[in-house]
Amino acid sequence: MIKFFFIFGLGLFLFLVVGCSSASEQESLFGSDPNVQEDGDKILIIDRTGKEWDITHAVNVYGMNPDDFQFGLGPDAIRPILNPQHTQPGDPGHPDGNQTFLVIGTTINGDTRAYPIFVLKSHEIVDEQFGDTHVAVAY
Amino acid sequence: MYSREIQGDLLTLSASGWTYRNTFVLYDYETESLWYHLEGTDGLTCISGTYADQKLIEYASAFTRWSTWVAEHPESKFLKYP
Repeated sequence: MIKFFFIFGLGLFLFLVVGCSSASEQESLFGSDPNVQEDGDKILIIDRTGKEWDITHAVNVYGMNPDDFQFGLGPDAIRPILNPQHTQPGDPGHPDGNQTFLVIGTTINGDTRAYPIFVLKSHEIVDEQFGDTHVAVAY
Repeated sequence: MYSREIQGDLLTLSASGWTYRNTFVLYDYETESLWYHLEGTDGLTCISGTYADQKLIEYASAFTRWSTWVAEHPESKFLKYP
């Protein structure tokens, strides 16, 4: 599930970042088309860090619209959790069973783990390993 | 919850910083291929890059409250976070 629930948080972030700019500039940040460049047969989108992403295949094969790629914050804006650690029942910091925050839970290779949404919101991905099975927990 | 193994290779998935129609576009550190959950399909499809047209399969997961989850899975581990 990678639904974009965190858009409000991001919106708030952008609002704070551009808090001093005019309404029209803020509108352009939210609603503007990405910087799309065509280089011969290639279709590139350029993010806010100047990084070029080749989306030719996405456009030609999957019919994706270059203008619908949004934000382009750059690959370092949202950092994944790369070496996740876990608590077990009885460990310090392991949450009580009466807490009601949202989680994504799974069992793989007999190992059951849960990932709180409030952490996934700021990292988007946890690069995980369940024994020999490698998965990405995505929000 | 998606596999990050393909053709015997291991990928490190991350947010690319792009969204497409309000859904994150992911990429992998190893090849900078782009991965996206296409509507009406299972798993993540490589929409551009080295693994174009290949898929990362989806694993079953639950979206629920911790209290509900841990009642059903009292042995569950929990992500430690800073």
